[in-house]
Amino acid sequence: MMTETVPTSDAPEEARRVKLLESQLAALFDVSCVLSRSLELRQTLREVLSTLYEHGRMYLGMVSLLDDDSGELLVSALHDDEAAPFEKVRYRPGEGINGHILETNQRWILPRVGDEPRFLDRLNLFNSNLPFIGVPIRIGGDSAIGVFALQPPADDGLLEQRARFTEMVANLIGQAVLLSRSVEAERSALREERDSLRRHLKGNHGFSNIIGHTERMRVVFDQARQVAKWSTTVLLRGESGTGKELIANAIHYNSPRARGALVKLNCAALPDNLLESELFGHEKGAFTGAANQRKGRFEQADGGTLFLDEIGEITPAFQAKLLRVLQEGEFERVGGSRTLKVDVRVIAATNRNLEQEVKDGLFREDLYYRLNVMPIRMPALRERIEDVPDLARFLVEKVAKQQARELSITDSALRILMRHDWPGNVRELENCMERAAVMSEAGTIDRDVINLTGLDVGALPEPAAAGPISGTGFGDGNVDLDDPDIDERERVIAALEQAGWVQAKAARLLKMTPRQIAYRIQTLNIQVKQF
Amino acid sequence: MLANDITARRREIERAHLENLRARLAEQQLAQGMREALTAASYQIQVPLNLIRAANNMFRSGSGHVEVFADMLAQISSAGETALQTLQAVLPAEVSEPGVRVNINELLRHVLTLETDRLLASGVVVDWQPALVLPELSGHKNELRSLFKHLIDNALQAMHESGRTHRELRLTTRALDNAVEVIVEDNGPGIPSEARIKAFEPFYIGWRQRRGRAGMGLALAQEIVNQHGGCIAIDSDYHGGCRMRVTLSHVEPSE
Repeated sequence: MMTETVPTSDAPEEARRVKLLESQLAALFDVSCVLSRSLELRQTLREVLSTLYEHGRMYLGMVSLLDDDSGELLVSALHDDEAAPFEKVRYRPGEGINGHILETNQRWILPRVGDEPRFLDRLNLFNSNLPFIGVPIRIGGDSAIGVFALQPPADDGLLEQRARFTEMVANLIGQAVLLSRSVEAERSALREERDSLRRHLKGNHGFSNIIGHTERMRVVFDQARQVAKWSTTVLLRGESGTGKELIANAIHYNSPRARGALVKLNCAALPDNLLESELFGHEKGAFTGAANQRKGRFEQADGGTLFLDEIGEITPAFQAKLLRVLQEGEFERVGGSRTLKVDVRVIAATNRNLEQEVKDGLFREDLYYRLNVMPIRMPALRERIEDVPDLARFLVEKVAKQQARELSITDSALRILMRHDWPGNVRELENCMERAAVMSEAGTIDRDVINLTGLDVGALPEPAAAGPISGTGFGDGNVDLDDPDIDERERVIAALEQAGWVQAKAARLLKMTPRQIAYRIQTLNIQVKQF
Repeated sequence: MLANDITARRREIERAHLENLRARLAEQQLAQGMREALTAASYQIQVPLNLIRAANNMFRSGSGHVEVFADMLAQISSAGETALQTLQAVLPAEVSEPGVRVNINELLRHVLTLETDRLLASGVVVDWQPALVLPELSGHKNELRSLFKHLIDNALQAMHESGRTHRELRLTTRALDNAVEVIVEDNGPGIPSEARIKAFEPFYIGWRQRRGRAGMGLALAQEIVNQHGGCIAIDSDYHGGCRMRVTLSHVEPSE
């Protein structure tokens, strides 16, 4: 068919041309395969060049890309067996053949590269007796972002075809560069955002965000600081609402695992079988409804910390499984046979009396010992009542920030709070402050507002009987009545409290007559305690 | 006049000499005291440990009695308690440093200057790329200097152990929003991925030559970083050696 359209004298050349085109087509197919394989640009480019080289040993090639920072051409990949130290080579704009191609944004075909005065031979790669084809690499048809250069084995009169092929490959490379650059940009943006969020989180979860100046809390902080350095299992004990989770956060964010994940799970929230797939994950089809494979919390926390709240609620059967992970760091997904190994620090928390549970046979003794390597006991709020004023002020400020308005709490209110025994601990205090903030229209939380929140002030014991209160200036009845800074209402309330709500006695303290103080109680709208 | 000058200079030299002597003596005393304290500590811990060992042997041979053992356990507990209390009592007081405004670039430069001799002696190429503008942070100057010194010392030791002839230490600083990132990179052997968290534990020694090392460098670094509301980690994406990433943010002025 071809012999009919082409004169017979050109037949050998035509055959060569067809052969070349066929081999180019095969090469193009292989190149496209290589390009779609991975996103690692350097590696991909090197593979493209070696593919071209292997295809009939036709081409010595080089890809150089524009460096955005310096504006210079950097050699990104070239095909040569000993092409190790090529990163040192760079071209300024307009320099050498490659620089010229980049600047003019036009392809350049040289029948013999040695004849060209611009040829710098910096790489010692190209044979100066052979032809040379260089084409710009473009993204979206605009200006060049790099140069693709290669050397065919000999000038066989088909340079034009070869140049066209080179341009095709250059276009493919351009697409690969574009893709890999946009993926890289996106990835680094995500990484930056993740790091900044993590910094933010860490700032909110340090020890400085936990209020506590009492000796008992200092002991807790010291323990937590020390334990943060190691990967030991930690057991946090204490009544609910004492801040076990806060301490767990602080331990995680002050440990070398701070860049890893902190995964939390409340063991009481799930029944046994769900708990198992939640913690260890499951394989596809492990049970009805397990449509997909799923990673468990242990896997999610790899390299980080797993916080298991309410550890006392799990059944003995599950305790055995947990014990194994704690001891070996190994487990299997539900329905899976592959043993997975993870590097996770476990922080467990409970408000139960584990010793009693062990005695009753509800909690495994071996797990009890295992967890007790580093126990930290959180003191109840009534054991550190001196922290109440700071806590209350901190919580009021927090509510104020949430509600975006000014809130303050008076000393008389603080004194009442210090006489409560807080069975619900800090959580109860927090709820109380939230309620008080809502009830206080003016933004000042005083003892009347506290009364309205339902805290039973009348039933509270006298300061003397309220326990270990000392040295903070609150509750010990020694408010300086002559202090000019406290307002009239506060002064009267303080005097009444010091006088045990005997008005005549309070009047003496304030150097007033009983009539004067009765009048003030009325006008200042002070609720007098009933006995 | 001239004689007076010379006398004054002599006195000056003598004073400097004395000062130097005093500092060296204090340092020696500190080191000796530390050694003594640690030796005593190991001895103290031996008491409960020996008791446990004895009890263990008795039980293994099947001749132990539970009542005796319960009594023994109480003894072990109290011995352990005593050891702990003694140790905590000899703990030196924490040296607190006032928080001031610091420029991280400046501090890093100080440390580099201090280490110049060592860097030259081991033929390390230093690539120092400070950010042009860094936000000033509040922080503890000496602590931050010692943080950077720990990291650079580690990098030097790593490159020393690699036995490579081409040694490169790269220090980069970068401004983040309200924080500063410091990157310390070396082309040593790197830290294996399974040790990247463990390396920060006290007593961890990753060097081939372990003698005379306490394994406290990175633990101390972590502690200092924690105090500065920051984060320190070994970059897992870097394979040409070890790359430490440290971010430091504003520290609250301590009371």
